[in-house]
Amino acid sequence: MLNSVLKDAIKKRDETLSILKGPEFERIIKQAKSNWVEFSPTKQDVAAAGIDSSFNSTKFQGAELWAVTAVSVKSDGEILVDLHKHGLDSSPELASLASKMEIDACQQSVDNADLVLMDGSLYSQFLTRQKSLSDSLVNTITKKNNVVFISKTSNTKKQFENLGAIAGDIFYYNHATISPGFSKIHEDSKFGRDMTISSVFARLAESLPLIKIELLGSGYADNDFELILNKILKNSVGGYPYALKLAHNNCKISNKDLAKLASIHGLSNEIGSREILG
Amino acid sequence: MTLGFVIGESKPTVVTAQTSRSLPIGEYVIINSKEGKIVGLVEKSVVSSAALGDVNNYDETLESIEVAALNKRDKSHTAMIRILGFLESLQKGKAILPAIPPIPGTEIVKATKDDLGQIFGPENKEWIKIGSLLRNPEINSLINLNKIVSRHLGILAMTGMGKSNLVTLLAKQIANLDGTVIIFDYHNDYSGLDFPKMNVIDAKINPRLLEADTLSDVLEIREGADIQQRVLRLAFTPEVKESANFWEALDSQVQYVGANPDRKEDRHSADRVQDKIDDARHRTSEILDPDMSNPVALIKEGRLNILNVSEFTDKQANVALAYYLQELLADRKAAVNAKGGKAKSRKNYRFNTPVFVIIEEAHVFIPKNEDAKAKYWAAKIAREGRKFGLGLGIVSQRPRDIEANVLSQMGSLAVMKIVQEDDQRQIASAAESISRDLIAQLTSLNIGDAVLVGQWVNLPAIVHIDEMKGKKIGSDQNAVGEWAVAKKIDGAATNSSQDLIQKDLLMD
Repeated sequence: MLNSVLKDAIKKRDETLSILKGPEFERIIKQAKSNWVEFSPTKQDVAAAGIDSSFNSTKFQGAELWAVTAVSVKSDGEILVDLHKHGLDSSPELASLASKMEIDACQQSVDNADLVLMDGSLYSQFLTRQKSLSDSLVNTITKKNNVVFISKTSNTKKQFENLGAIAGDIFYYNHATISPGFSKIHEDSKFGRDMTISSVFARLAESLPLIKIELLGSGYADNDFELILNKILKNSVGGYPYALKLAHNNCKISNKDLAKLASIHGLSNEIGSREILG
Repeated sequence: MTLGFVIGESKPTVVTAQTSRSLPIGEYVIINSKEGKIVGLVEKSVVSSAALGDVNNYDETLESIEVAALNKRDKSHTAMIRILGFLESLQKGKAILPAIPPIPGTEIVKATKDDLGQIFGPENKEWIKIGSLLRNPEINSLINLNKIVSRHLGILAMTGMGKSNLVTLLAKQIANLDGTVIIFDYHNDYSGLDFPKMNVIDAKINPRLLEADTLSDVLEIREGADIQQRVLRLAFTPEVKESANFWEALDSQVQYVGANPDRKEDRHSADRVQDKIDDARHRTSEILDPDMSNPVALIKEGRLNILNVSEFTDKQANVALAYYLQELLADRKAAVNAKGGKAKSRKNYRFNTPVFVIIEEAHVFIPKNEDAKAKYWAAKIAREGRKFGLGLGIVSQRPRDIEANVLSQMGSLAVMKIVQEDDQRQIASAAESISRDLIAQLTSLNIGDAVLVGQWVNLPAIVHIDEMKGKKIGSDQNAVGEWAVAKKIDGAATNSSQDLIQKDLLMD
């Protein structure tokens, strides 16, 4: 890095960090603190399944070798659903396909687990997916009402925008609190009344990182989220459900995996090791 | 029973396996290769947990333990298996490695008694049992005695790990087969053994039979004392050697040399030499005996001979050992030459059959980077003994201090617990057949466990040596116990003497 950038950074350090101090920041923090519901969850024994999907592809000479997987795994390692597809196309819609497979995995899991944990956010599901997929998702979720969306990070800026927030909501809750609990329930009906998203930022134990929990629908009470936290706490590691970690590890398609796929099809030479290895 | 499968990169000498349970180091397995059954030895065993692999703090560890216990797929058991050769060829005493590596996915099964029995316990007179395989205890571990007599043996371990037990076991077995064993007993550890075919000798030196410089060592004349050494050399004449009264003749001759009017400066040195002779005559008369016949004559053929040198100083012990080794080599050469019809004269040897000599505390007698007479003869026997049926066994707890050239001549090794890295390095460089992974296991061996490598075994083996019954040898002193007994006796003596005094006779 150029020294001039560093010198400039030193000069502007206070300005850059103004996001973390000053009356505006303090006001937001105060608001976040008042939104925080103190709650120490207690472990509740449930069979939870984690669902995640992954896709990867390598382009060569105008074509694309791709693979998509989605899995549903219980905390004890039992794989409930294992879906996969691969192909050789031009410009495949891999994100949509992965999303559809996640919903399929969810459909096949809701009857076999007490709690189904989906990796990611309902926002991204509704924002980026086709209408038909959204309908399918709503039907799946409402079948047993046991589907919860969980994400480690969030960019949403809904709750403190009017106070001049620059960062996402999760940033301020992280600075405002260290205790276990969750934020005031936030309802968002921007996708329509039948696709209202109710969300909270939650912490399972003191000083752990926050997670974002989203449910489909409106009218939830604090008690509903408290029950979910009790269920999630069991078999969570570092504040994150282990079933989701297992799902991620089981479904991820690395470049090495893609290389194996290319080899099976006899395409290693066509693609070349450079492309496969990224 | 399937233990696992070959995974990853496979080589003709080593494979990695994913197994259903952790395989103990030292366990033998069978790799069911398409070319035939291959015997492998587990040299490294690793178990990892997916949940506990990347924990950041104590609480996360506790949570991970909980989820790891639930998840059957959480643990990964990996083993590195060294390929030792095809089972069929090993059972015939030959190690043939596969030309192509076992294909990943090849099944690995537990080795059975039928598989290994023939390899570790060939039914032949020259093979004797010394223990059982550490990880397959139902299988006896036998060693080939012929190989240690012809190609020598090193027994290396920390103190208290079972060296003396193994020495005793081997020595008794050889004597039971009417073989001749000589243990050069540095600490007088073996004389109390309960064994009928044993011959305990207090080693002695006949000064008449020595060279002048060796006599100088025996008399403890300092290395730098050149004039004293010169005086002794001039005085140690053939007439003195043959004199009826050796010490008086030597003393007179030293006085005569010192009285040379042309070399008045020798006078004082001659006095010092006379003092040394006087010391030797009176203080070490038990071990320096000019009237004894050849000391080697006291060694009995077909017996376990314990040569006690505990009364000797290091220098004297070195001289004595050098003398015995030199004489034994000459004797065996004469015997072999006579049998081969090469000897011109009539029988001039004592030992008709091969002899095995065991040197305890070998680092004292065969030191690295130091000249010693015993080292010269030990090295010579290590090189030439094979031809003349003179085997050498060196025993030490400090392999790093043993001359590497001699250690590397040991065709077989028994290595027990060794912690020092210097020692491990020395062993690794001396024995090609002992791998780094096997060396790394030496720290984890328990008392009586040993890694056997070399020509006396068909395969490298980790074994538990049988414990010899009877008197414990080379064991540590029970200081606390002895103090307690001494106190009791002392107390008893005090009480009894007081009891003898009538109370009414005691005065205030």
